[in-house]
Amino acid sequence: MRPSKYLKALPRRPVPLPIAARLVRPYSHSSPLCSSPVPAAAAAPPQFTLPASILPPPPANATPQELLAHYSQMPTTLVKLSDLTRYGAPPLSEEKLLDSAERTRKELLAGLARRVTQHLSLPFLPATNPSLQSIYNLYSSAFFNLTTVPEIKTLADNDRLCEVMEQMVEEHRDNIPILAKGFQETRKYLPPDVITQFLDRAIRNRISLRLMAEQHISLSAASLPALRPSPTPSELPPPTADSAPKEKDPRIEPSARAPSTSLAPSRVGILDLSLSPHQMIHTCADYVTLLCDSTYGVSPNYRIEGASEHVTVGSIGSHLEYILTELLKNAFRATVEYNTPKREEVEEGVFRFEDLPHAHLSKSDLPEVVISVGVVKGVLTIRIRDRGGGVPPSHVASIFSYAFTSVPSVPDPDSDPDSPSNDLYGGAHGAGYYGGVGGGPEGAPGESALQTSVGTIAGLGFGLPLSRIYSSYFGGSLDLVTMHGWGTDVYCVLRVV
Amino acid sequence: MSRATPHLFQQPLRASKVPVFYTNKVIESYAAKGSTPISLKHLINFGKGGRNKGEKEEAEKLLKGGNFLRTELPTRLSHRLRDLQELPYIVASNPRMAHVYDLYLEAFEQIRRFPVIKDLEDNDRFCEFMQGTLDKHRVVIPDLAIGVSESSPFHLPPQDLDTIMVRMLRSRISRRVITEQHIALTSQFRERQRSLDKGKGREVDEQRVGIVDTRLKAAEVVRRCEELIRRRGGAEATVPIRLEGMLEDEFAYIDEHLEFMLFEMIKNATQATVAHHGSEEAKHHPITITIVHGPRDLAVRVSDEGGGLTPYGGLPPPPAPSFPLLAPGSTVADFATAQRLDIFSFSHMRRYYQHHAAQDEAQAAALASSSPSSPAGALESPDSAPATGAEGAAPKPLTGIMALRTVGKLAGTVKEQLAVERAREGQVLTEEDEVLRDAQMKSGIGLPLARMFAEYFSGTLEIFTVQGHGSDALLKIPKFGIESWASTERR
Repeated sequence: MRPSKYLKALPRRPVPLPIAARLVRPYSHSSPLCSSPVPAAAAAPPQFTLPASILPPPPANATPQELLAHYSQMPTTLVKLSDLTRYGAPPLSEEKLLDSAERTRKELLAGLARRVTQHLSLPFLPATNPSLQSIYNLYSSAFFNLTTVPEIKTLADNDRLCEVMEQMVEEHRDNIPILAKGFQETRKYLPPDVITQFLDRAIRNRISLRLMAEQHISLSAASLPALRPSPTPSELPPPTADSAPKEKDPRIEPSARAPSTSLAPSRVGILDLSLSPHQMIHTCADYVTLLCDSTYGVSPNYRIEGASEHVTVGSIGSHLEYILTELLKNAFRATVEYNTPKREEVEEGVFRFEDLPHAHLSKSDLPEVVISVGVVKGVLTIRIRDRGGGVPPSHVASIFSYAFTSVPSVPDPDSDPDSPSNDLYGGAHGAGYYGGVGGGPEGAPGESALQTSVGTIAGLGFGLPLSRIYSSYFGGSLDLVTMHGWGTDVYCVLRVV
Repeated sequence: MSRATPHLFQQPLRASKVPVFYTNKVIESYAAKGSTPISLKHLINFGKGGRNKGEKEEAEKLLKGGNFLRTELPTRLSHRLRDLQELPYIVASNPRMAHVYDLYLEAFEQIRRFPVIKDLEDNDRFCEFMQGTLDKHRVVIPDLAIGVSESSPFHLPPQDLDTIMVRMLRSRISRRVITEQHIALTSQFRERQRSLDKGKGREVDEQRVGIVDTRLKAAEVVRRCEELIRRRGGAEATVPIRLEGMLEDEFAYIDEHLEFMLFEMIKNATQATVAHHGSEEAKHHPITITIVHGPRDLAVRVSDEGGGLTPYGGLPPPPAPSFPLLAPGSTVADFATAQRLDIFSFSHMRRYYQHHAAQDEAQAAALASSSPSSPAGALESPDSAPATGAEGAAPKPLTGIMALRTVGKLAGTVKEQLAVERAREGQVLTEEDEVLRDAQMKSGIGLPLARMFAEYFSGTLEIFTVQGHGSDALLKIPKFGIESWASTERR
């Protein structure tokens, strides 16, 4: 990068010096954590390691840095579907519940420590970005809050743990868009693969953390009434998400569905043992139809084929919901955009009714989106087939990359006008598989041309990579197969119980 | 004109008293040369170029082409000979592998000693000789497949097996293409000469340049494959086939290759549909074939409702945790649910062969102890799906490559088969034809071969599956592709 870029960049995005000092603010201890002896190797996710519970407990009077160093060296594990059913269906016995609590506490400490150290290993300047800072602060305060929870020995300890975890789950809800904004702004200081790697790990780790926290909160909520038959109001577990206002924006990221249903016999915590794929597809497709209608005034029909509608699987509904919503949004949007007759010379900034797709189209003019469901033992496969023109070959390679690593969303006066990435949005067709990059959950206006013109249906630009991480989390896969000039098939394979 | 007869090597080479070890120098000197990759465009332009200028120029082009073959083929053969020499001793000394080696060595010696082609008569002789060699080498694929499957389980890890098979077969396809192209150009030239002699004038057939059809319609090829399946009868013939997409677009390709690939894909789809839904229900589960022409490639998708594929094609999973086809880096997705299927690999074919060999052995043992058979049926690969049913008491037809073992060659092209079926018109198939047909249907080599053909001009053939519902086979071939084998060559 040319040095002049730095100079020009400074006035536009000033880096106030005090921010650098904030790096260590969450702790009263002044020694900079950046130089704390966190071995670099510890940051790499170990593949097959001992369970966290085998590591000896940290010394009683450890300083926060020592705690961080201790826990970040603890091996973290990917959650397996079988882990979620380890304790059987709730209500759990007190012993089992406490065991689950202690295990959750340790795993969370390890995971959070890793998040903090990952941020600390970022280069200095990008690390001072306010968005990344705020994420860092969230994680480090969550970590230190959790260190105040003692080893779980009683139900009261468990209550304390649940309280901390609920706060964490709530506070961290919008992390991904904020991270996206942060990396979008620091794009020029970090190579794309560093960003991609960071995000992949951050998101995977985050899924684990949320899964563990939500699973335990949900198990507790389902078990405590049986363990404490007549609790005084003060002892009641703090109200969980069912009472908390959860205006979830499915655009952003899934979280567990309200644990209020966790008393249903088919539920083990957040795992739904009798999830109906058909019902879920209908829910998501109806939502996307609404989105699509409100954006374009028209939306394609959809059809579900394959497995019978009475088939149920055991899976995590929120994950499936997120994936389906993302994929259907892409399919619907591509279908409408590709099949809209092209108007010549749309005048910029002038609104004309006839430029809107629905001025020319009705539902029956659009080819339907076909969703095929296949269920065999342990595997749920969903294929979403659209006729939205497919993705041009030149874009296929970057389809699963985070959009903001390859597409400039803010017109950057410094950027090379001839750089190929600038016309990534050039072709109208195929754009359906790229989301615009929104600023945050509210979507700062004017951030990208695509977003302003398309509104909410163009997501945050990482629907596909995130969906892939979700579907592969328990050992599934997500494949996108495109026939340019015709349409796209997406195969989502999920491991189910 | 002094022309030495090219028959120096009539006697089998291996009978020579000189140990092979000391006679390798010539092979090595040829193998030190690189081979020349050829693109589809090159094939067409070379053929058209001479044709459009006039008889004299065309004849010159033919001589040039013949002499190119005369030097290029020994070079390419020498590479394969070296490949075979690098195989573990036990694999290379398997009788079938040794046979392949001998055939290649013989061809190598004969072609490199063939005198320079100076006139059209020389060229005719060369074409005749090459046609004979091509025919003689028809056994190579079954020989290779069986030889490797029999001999290599403990000596070639799956990845090495796939590498060697891919190299052998790709190179074979490419050698045959350039040879057949030359023969076809020559015969087209002679054809025109004859019609000229009859006073009909020099009619130039614009559409066919050698073996390349420059105005090929994928939809027509699909219809030919469909007709062959219909004429063959059986439950497979009742599966409806829907065609959609850009049916009228034309492009240039070797029609025989496209036929082979599409027939494999459609045949598998019909078989899977029948196996999954039964022969009664199959007619309600159509196969949808989508043809899409892009600016640079052609895509054909064959989408069936045949219940999908299991990751190992119905075989028990391999013991070793090494799955070469699993994308690197995807450590989380385990193979059981990943989309990448290994039915395309030759290692799958080998496991398939061994599975059936073991099964047959067990069956023979069971028969020997005079107890009634049989455990089959449960473990059918998608390639051989519907073996259950009618043939109860009849002698059990050989499955897998076992069947190829008795037949020793592959069935003809779709066009040839179609001609046979059309001529047959309802008459009963001869036993030999039936065995031949079944052998290829069930050998498990169809898909790997189809993928070879697709990859030959840098295309792809993939299968994506919705387990429990159906599969999509997607073929993509670039227009004017270049030979891709160069990337897998030794150097």
